[in-house]
Amino acid sequence: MNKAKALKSAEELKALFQSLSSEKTVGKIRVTIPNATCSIARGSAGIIRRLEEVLKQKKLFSQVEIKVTGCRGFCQIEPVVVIEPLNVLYQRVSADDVPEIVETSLVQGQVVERLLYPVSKEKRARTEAELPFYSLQKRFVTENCGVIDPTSMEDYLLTGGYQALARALKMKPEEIINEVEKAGLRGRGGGGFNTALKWRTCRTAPGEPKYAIINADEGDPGAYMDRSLLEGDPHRVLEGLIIGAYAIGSSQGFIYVRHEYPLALRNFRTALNQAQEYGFLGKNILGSGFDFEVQVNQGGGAFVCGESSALMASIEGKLGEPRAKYVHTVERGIWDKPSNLNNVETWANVPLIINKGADWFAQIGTDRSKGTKIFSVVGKINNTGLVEVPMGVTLKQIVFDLGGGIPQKKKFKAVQTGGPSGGCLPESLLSLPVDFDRLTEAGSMMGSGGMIVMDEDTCMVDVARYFLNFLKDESCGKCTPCREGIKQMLAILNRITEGKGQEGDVEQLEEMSGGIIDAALCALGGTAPNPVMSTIKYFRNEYDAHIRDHKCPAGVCKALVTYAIDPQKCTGCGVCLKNCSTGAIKGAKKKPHKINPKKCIKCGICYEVCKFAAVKRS
Amino acid sequence: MSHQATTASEIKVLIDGQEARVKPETTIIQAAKTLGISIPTLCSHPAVEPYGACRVCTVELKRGKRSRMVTACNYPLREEGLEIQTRSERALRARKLVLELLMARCPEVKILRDMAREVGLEKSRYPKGDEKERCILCGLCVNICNQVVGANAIGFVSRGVDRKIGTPFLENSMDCIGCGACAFACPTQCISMTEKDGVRKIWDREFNLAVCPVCGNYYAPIDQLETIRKQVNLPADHFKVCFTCRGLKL
Repeated sequence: MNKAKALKSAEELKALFQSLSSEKTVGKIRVTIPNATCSIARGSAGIIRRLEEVLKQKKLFSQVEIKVTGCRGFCQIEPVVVIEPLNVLYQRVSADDVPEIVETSLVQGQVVERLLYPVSKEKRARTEAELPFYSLQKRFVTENCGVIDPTSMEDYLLTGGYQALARALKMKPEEIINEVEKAGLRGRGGGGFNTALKWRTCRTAPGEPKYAIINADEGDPGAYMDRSLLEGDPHRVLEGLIIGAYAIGSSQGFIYVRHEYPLALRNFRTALNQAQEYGFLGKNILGSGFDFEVQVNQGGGAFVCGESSALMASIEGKLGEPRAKYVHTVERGIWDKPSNLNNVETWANVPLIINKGADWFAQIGTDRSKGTKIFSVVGKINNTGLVEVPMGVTLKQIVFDLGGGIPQKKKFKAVQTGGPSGGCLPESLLSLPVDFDRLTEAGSMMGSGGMIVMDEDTCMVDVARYFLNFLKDESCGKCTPCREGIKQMLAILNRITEGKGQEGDVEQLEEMSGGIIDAALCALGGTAPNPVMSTIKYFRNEYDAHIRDHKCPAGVCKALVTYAIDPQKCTGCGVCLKNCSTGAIKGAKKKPHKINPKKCIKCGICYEVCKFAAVKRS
Repeated sequence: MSHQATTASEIKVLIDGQEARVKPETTIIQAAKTLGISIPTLCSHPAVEPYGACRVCTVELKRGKRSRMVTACNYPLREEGLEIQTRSERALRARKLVLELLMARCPEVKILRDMAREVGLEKSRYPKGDEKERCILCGLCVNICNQVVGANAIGFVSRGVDRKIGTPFLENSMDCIGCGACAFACPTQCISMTEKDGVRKIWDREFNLAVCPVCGNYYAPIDQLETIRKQVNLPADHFKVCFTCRGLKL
């Protein structure tokens, strides 16, 4: 550890910032390549390797700065390459495109047209600002993601990093809490609890030491906001934690990261080491007299460990199961000491509030939900990715303006918000402004920001069954209503999707939901019925179709679907026959084919491959 | 627990319309007991910390106009003005749900049927589980073994619907001292413990029982006696004679 580097005061930080700013290289060509989990999955690492090779071959390596960053959010068009000062964004790049990019853009300063993002048939966008995906976004919390090298302290310092900490350390702890209160920050992890109130309760709770914890046990299917933040801008999360710890009066911090996030953890660990080196962690931080350390804890793969009391039990080395929180964890948490747990995104908002002020923060968003929120928009949607939007933007704007609507011109059916504990909202609620309270009123919840878009081919009974099945596997099994109740609700849903539903099943599901909500121990069990209740509320007709008519309107539930070939339309091309894996389709060439229902396993491949719409599903 | 006057160290609560005065941090179950109101429960036991797993003791708690559902075994009374209803419609609905679910899990357990009858439930509508299943996963055995015996010989295995109770890796546990406290505490008598010819069998392990030189009866597993003797640092021959013959009052 290089002790000489450690900064001893806010003034030293300022001086370092100024010297870094003046050293900043100007005029050098910079190629930015996001290399986060989603980009890596689509081949970004290969592009970086190839780029280095080509540049070395052409003896240009020293003239070009390759900036490897976190994710910029638009996963659908990864891998992305941004070139400055040419100011151009290439999308869906492959390693084979690299020589052309180097020759055309880096040597000749021209644009490779075919790699630009097609906004429409005629128009291609040159920069990120022109992409509809970014049109309504306000990227404040994610401003550095995809821009800075997350493993570089200099990069973070150049964005004004740790200046919020320097400012905060000159404030009184109560003043910081007041500022966060004035900003109206609410927890981004799911509950939407008033952050300042939580901090204050922890600060005033008797008991020492106090603990400050980052909850990075993000586990909702399809949600990855926290992963992206930790991968792309770990210092911001850490800076938020240190400020919060100072406000709370905590000298020991933890981060609880799920085991499935190796890159996020690696980048955060790098950040921890750097912060220690620069004196943002450790003893007497920036000469303020405040000491703070952070310990890393990795989860073992249990969804329930995202729940505060289970998470804390897990940190203690105990079985990760929740306990009753009649006495809150801010009063009695880890080892019965006051423990303040906030989600990654909540912590990441803190430096923003200290830097820009509570008034600035509070003017973004709605009446009771302030600031921005990151959503992961996934499912049946054209533009999959992470968006950061001001609270109050409507679901329609997110799904259609940013998300680009549903692929293959299919009809929108529902959007599931809030993860497995959330609910499915129908088309009629698309104009709903997205904030904590409005989503809860509609029978769903904000949750941590997962949004799964579903099209007309989605069966809502099957969706409810899917989420209950997830929760059945993830329930810790401690309390009866959650363990046994979810199992029995799932059995009823399975029956319905198998065409064995009975009159009264829906009413029984509703009755059980009410009881489970009342009797379950923790929020996992208490919200488990939400997917069932919201689909019953908004898509009751689909339940009725399954139970009364033995039909699955979306054609998903295999037991209720039959496939047949329309002899009028069938040209006998044989494509279905070739694709059928069970040999259920027979027919002579250029003669109408037939499906043998006894052999058909209803996989639907014939339906999908038929170019003449001759395969009928009913 | 009858205190004369209201002092600062006492709070007043209403339980089913009756007033109780209790020390702060008293649980609802304890407070109800002072009024002679019994709240059914399966997983709580005076010897261990309340665990709050079975949820049978769910009651309705009112604070002004706001009402919420809490478990009576572990809710600590800390403030004035609380009103508790142990048999409100909502409380009974929750209790019925829990018992109906448990009856489906363990169709042959009598205590569940008796408790269910108390809330007007004769049988479960849910598909019956294995008739041999008697464990309701209340965790009392685990908590007794951990908190009272200190042996930590058994614990929870797997999660969710697969959860069960067992020794580590479901193998013979060398930490088990054969004391049988788990079997004694189990509300559904589902832990098998047998004794034959001076051998006690529990958790698939055999324990030799000590023979009393005075009366000639088997009286306790040697492992258990040795563990306790070492824990409390007693002389080697302390447990040589059985409790009855020593005239010890336990």
